[in-house]
Amino acid sequence: MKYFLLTILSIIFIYFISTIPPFFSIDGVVQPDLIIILVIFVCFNFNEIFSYLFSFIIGFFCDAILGTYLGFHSSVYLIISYFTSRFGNLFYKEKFFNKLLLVLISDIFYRIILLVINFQKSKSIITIFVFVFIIPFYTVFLYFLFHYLKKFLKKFYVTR
Amino acid sequence: MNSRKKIFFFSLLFISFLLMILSNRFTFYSFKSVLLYPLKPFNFIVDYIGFTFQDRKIFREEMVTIFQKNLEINRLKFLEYENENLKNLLTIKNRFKEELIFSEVIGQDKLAGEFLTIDKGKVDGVEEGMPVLSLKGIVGKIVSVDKYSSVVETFNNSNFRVGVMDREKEQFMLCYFYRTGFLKVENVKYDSKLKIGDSIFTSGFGKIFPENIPVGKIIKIEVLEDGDFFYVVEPFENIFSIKYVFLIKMDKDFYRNRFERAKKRELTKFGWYTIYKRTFE
Repeated sequence: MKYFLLTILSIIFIYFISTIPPFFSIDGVVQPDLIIILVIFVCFNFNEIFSYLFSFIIGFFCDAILGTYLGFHSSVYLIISYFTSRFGNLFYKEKFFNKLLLVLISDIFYRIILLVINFQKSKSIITIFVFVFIIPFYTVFLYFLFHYLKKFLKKFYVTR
Repeated sequence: MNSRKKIFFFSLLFISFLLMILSNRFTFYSFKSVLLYPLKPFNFIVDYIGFTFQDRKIFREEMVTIFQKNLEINRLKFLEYENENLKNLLTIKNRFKEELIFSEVIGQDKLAGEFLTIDKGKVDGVEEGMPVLSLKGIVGKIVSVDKYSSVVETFNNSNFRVGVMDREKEQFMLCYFYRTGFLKVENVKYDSKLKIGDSIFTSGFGKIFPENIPVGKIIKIEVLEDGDFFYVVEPFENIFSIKYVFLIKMDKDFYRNRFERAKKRELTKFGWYTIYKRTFE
């Protein structure tokens, strides 16, 4: 039931963020990928099979809503979730810093693939640099914030 | 257990790639539109929250300003175009001794381009049979005159005939309507040196059109079964895109006396008589 609820809520979340493009963005330019954060969060906190299925469904809806090729986001999120589940559970489970590193690598990987796909549309080296290497740090920062927000809320509810 | 996960992962990955390949070949518009349908309430909510009343008011005012500016730009563009055309028409004035009447096309037979309606009529001194020209060349002649407007019978009309000649004034021929947008030149000498691409001009023999008005250029030579041939001519002016024309105002008795003059000449066999008859009777 919780898996189903999480998937439905995530789909609603995708619909919601796709209607507000500059969500958590800085000046409309530096736009973090909140869906990557969601996918990685699911990979860290749920079992592998569900995380694969979740990545696939979320990616599928992303493709349908964002207008890219059907299957593009699904495959990218699946690969990210595969590596996150495999290596995240093996090496980085305890250390929070390593989790952040994994988020960073995943986001860079996702952006490099996006860049390859949209190679003709890319304009300058600075834009590419910002897109591939700067924005992922902002995504990591957001993941960091969400993590502590989750911790805080957990503490708050436990003490109550 | 581990292999089950792997199989599951790779099967999902395979489906993803399959979808990518398929979406490259087919566009799933209907499928995507179904998935995009739930976006509507979100869009509505975002619109409602995002645009406060004040924002909406500013937005509406900005839209009105932009619309007005666009309207102004379009008006200026039209005036510029009109100004250019009128300037060109004025340069024509020096070419003719006769008085010219400048006019704007206000109506058009869009199907075959046989008739044009212009904004000048009896009040402006327009008379039946007046030649109508444009910047590029011949257009037609006036066949009906009202108080404030007139009807022009263009070269796309099957009654159209005009005497033409080559640039060197060596050959005098007759130009008829051939099919919409094309004329044919007959009475061609067998030793004619005219070739495709040569321009032809009015000869002025018909006394409807003045001499040396460009008619069109030869695009084809049609040879008949009996060895006779005629030229197919493409007029310089396109009736369907014409905007301004000018009429040549001859002296008052010119049109009245012309029929009588023609009658005296007894040109019945040649065909000119028929033209006058058709025009003035």
